[in-house]
Amino acid sequence: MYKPSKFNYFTNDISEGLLLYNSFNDSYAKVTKENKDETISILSSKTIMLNEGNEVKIKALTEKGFLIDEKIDENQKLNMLIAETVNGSELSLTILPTEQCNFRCKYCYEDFKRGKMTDVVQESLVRYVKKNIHKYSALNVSWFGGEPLVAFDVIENLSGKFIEICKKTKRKYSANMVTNGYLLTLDNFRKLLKYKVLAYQLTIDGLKETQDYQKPLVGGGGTFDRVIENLLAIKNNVKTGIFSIMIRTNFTKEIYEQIDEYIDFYHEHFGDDKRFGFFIRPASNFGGDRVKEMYSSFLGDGGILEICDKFVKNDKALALMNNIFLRPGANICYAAHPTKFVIDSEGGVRKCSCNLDDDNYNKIGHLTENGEMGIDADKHSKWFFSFERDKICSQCFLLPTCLQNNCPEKRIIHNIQENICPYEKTLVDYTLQLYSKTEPFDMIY
Amino acid sequence: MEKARIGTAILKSLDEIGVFIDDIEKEDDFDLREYLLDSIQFISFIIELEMELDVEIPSELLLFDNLSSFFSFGEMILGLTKETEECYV
Repeated sequence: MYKPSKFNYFTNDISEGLLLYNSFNDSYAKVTKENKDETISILSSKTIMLNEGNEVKIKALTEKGFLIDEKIDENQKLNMLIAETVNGSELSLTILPTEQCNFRCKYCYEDFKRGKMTDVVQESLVRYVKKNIHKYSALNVSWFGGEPLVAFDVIENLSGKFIEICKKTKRKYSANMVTNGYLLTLDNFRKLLKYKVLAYQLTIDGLKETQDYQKPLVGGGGTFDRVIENLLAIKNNVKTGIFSIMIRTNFTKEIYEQIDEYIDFYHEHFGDDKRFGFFIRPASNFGGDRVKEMYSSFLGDGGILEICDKFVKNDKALALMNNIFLRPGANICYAAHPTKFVIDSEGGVRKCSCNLDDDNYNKIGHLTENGEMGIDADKHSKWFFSFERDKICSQCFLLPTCLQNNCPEKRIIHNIQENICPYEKTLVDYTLQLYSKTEPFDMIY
Repeated sequence: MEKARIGTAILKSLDEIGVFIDDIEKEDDFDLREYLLDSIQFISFIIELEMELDVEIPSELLLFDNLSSFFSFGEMILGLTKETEECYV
């Protein structure tokens, strides 16, 4: 006897077939239009018995994990996933080499009060890694800011030392970066590859007019041409396939008005290169004062769904990477992990890269010159995973992706008690349709 | 001679990321996938190899299954180094 997994989700495909997704196994499949109704009926049953008529379908659905043995307790499997996630063996550091930025984005929440990381803080951080790396299997660094490339020398110094430590202790090392791309010249990019910075997130807000308005230079002036020029130089001159660049766009009404031109432009320049992917979100209030100027540009309710619809219906496919948030554990905030820390430019040890001025909850320690984090265990524990399962969440097909820990910041700092669903839940139908458009799912029958 | 250089570079790159291949294994062909357990290890190995041989391995060759045979993988990399040399002629 079989039963459907409680982590299944299905939605219509643009070709009128059915797309299937299971969030626990990260599995995807497609069935033809002719088999759609029967599949929905199977996946909506309480239990299913194998018989001559349904054998092929049951086997195919079982192989992909959409049907499971009736005796399997999926809650217990979920507990195992939580245990694996909590016992992360990797040390992850989000490092702010500077909190200054060469841009002044209209919606940015940072206040740029702190500056560049001093030599003393850098040495303290290196000492911390040296003293503690034996406890971990790997070191993962995320370069964040401010704009990290404004302090390129800090990145070079720390990367060189971290790589040397990991090499000596035979630990894995990996790095990624969130940058505005303005200083991501070909020369800098080649250096960063040597420092193992292989995954990048850049925000480009639409086309020239909107990007230059939403993301101007600090002293004024456009940024679009230079960022695109940098990306094209990388695309055309770097052959290696080991890196990926995710172009994020925070959609406003103005970008939406140019949606067809947007798709044409990015498809023409980057659509043929799998190293470049796209990620869409609505521009929204991330905090701070500057954003008030932009309220009238925010998309209304459902605006982002209309944008997704345009992406689905456009013949030109852009590799949207929103699907990365459909993987198990992908929506758990890094702050909920006990081995993930944010290191601010003054050596403050924090949990969340938002609310960088909050010292009451977010700042849990401070690096000392002898390489100690001086963590306040009580403060740290507040950010930690909640194991109590909420009634509503326990019925949710997307639970394996967030494990009820999507945004501890809202619970701790903003005192919001109800569970916060991952943003991707609102877009899941479109995310699956777009994912299947660029990476066709297995047609199981 | 050139094949031996590539083979040594592959083994050295594995060693750099903490993967040790026993001498007995090296006598025959073997499956590199058994030693590279996750994507970070795979990418770390490729970075080391690219630096060791001063080549760039394009996305279409970066398939995990291309590591199923040490010898075939070596041949593929040899092809790449030849291409690079030809560029400079």
